[in-house]
Amino acid sequence: MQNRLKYWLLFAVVSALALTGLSTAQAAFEDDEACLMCHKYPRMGRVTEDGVFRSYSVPPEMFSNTVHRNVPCRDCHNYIKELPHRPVETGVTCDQECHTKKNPATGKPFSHKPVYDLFQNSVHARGKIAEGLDANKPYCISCHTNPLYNPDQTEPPKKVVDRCELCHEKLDFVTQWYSHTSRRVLEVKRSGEEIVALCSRCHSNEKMLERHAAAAEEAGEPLGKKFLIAAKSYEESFHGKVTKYGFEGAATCLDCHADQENYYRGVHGILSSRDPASPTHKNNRVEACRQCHEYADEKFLAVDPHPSFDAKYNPVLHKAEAIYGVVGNGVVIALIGLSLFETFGRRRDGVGWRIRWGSTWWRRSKRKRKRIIPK
Amino acid sequence: MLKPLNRKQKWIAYGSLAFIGIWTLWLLFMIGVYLLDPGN
Amino acid sequence: MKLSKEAEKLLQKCMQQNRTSDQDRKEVEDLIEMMPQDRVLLYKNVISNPIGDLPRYSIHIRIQHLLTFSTFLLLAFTGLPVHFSDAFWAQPFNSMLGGIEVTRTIHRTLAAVMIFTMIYHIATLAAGTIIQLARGRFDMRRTVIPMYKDLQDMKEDVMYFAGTRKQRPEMDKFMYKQKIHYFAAAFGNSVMVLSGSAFLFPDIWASILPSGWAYYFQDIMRLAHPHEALLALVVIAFWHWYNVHLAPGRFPMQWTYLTGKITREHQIEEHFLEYLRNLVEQPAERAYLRTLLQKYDLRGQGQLPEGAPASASADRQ
Repeated sequence: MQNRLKYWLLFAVVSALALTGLSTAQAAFEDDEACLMCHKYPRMGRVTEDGVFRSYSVPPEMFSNTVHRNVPCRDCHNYIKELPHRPVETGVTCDQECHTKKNPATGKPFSHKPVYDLFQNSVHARGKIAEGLDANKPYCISCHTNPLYNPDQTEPPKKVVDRCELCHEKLDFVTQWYSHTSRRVLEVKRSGEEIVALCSRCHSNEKMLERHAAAAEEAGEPLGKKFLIAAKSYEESFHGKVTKYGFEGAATCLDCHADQENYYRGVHGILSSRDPASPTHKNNRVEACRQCHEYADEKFLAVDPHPSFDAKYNPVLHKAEAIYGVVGNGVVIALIGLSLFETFGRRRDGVGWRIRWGSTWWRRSKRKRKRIIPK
Repeated sequence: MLKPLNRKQKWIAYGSLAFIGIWTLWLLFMIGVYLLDPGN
Repeated sequence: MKLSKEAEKLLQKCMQQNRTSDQDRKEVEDLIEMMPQDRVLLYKNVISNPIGDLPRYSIHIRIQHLLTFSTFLLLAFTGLPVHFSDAFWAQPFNSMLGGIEVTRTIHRTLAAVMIFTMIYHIATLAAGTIIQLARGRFDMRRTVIPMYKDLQDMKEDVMYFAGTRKQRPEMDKFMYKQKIHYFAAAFGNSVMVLSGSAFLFPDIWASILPSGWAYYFQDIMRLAHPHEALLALVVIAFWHWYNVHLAPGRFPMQWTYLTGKITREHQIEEHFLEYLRNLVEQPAERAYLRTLLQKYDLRGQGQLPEGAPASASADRQ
């Protein structure tokens, strides 16, 4: 009886929320499990032992616009058996089988498991809860947030609607299916800038890199020669420079480091360059370069995609840069000096800045040679 | 005696002077920006 | 005046090359006799048309200069916002043109025009040299090729500026400063073309170069391109423009690049040897100089008469 009453109360609260229009999305987010009773509050959370505030808030007006809005909470949070629930240990892992509704195409429940398994074979592999070396690596949610369902368009284009509604009378259905499919077509790949920014979140974080390098050394695990400057040197490279300002034709991190046979498989299964299967392994590099550089051969591999003018990484280039600086400044100072000296010398003999009487030599000369007077 | 620059010649001469002046100002501005940038 | 040995030799060669008649020879020699020993008095007293009196550059050279400077400035204009795309002014500039891709495309197109100009220039020089050789009028000293004399000229000129010489040295059509500038520009342009091509065709360069070179080549080119460009821009703005626009005597503008002519005053001051050739080749110049010299009677004068006033009103006559 107690339980029933509780659920009734919850239902009342949720209905009231729905009625007051908190969830205004077209596909209304239904909180049948009453999780929002607590999780809707913005300050919902706790302060950890380390003094970090962890938010447990799930703003319904946001969540109801995300791709997961139709998945009931407990499909993923399947360890929640009672309300209020116990402290969560591991939480949701992304390899869980989710949608209870079976996939109409395969008859199987939906899951991210195939991608998760690819990821577990990559150089970035880690479990959700990780320690030591693995703790520095990314988990699924480091790159994938819970994205908006329909970020580009709130309404399908009129032409599409007009065509669909010939047969499908329910407009809601049309909108939903349009969004479901168009989302996958419109957002197939992040832009070059976004990819670099994503990788740089960890690969530019110096503290993280140093921590990882130290831990790797202790564990005897080899890292790339330029592991510490991977993102920084890329930004200095030709590829990095043009990518940074919106040119989509230049190679980003993933164009070389991910296997391109199937882009989506490749990016989740990035391997160390020492792995013979990696496109950046020395045996595969020519092929990787040839994707864009038609005439690339073995010799082309000498061109460094992660150039550095740091004395530690390339002393020759470091010196070359210094020489350029000295020569450049020296030349400029010498030429300006010569001009000033010349002007000084000629001024002493009476040259002026104005033309008078057909000549610029009209001032009194300090060399005692005044302009000749016409007879 | 030499005639001074006529009107058209003055336009050309001082016009190009203004042109290089603007260029030089731009260059000086850039050098300023470069030198004031704390990243350099 | 009594010519220096060197100038005398040069003048004789010029007259020989031009097959100057005996009468003209005598005329030239008379004129030189009438000139003051102190050349300063000459260039201080000639009357010049500010847009130029004596021929200097052919129409080809003028077109090349026009093409070079317009492509150079536009290349700088489109190259700098690519190189300094971090700077706050670069992004609005790039967007104004339609994005960095458009800026880069314009940059490359202009580069092609500049390369065409370089080829045009080399062709002009080659053709000009061949023609002069065929006519028996070629004189190495009249070209832009650097010679030992240029070093001496530079030393003498610096000493004049410092006040330890009475006159500037006798310099040829291209003085040391112009030779430095010419070869700096030629070298700079070549570096820009080379490094630019390394950006466009890194794979081809790597396959041409001996193995192992690509590692340094590509990055040294990446270093060279912006450094050389900035150096060129600074040299143009603070040296070349100063010399041709702002320097006293040239202000507000030296017209040579438009009219192809140089003023008498400038020619005698900085290119006296070329002025001697002008006397041989331009009868009109001989006539002008004769009138001037007869009017002022500068013969044998090294110093101004004591107590001569230099006030503006007295000058005006």
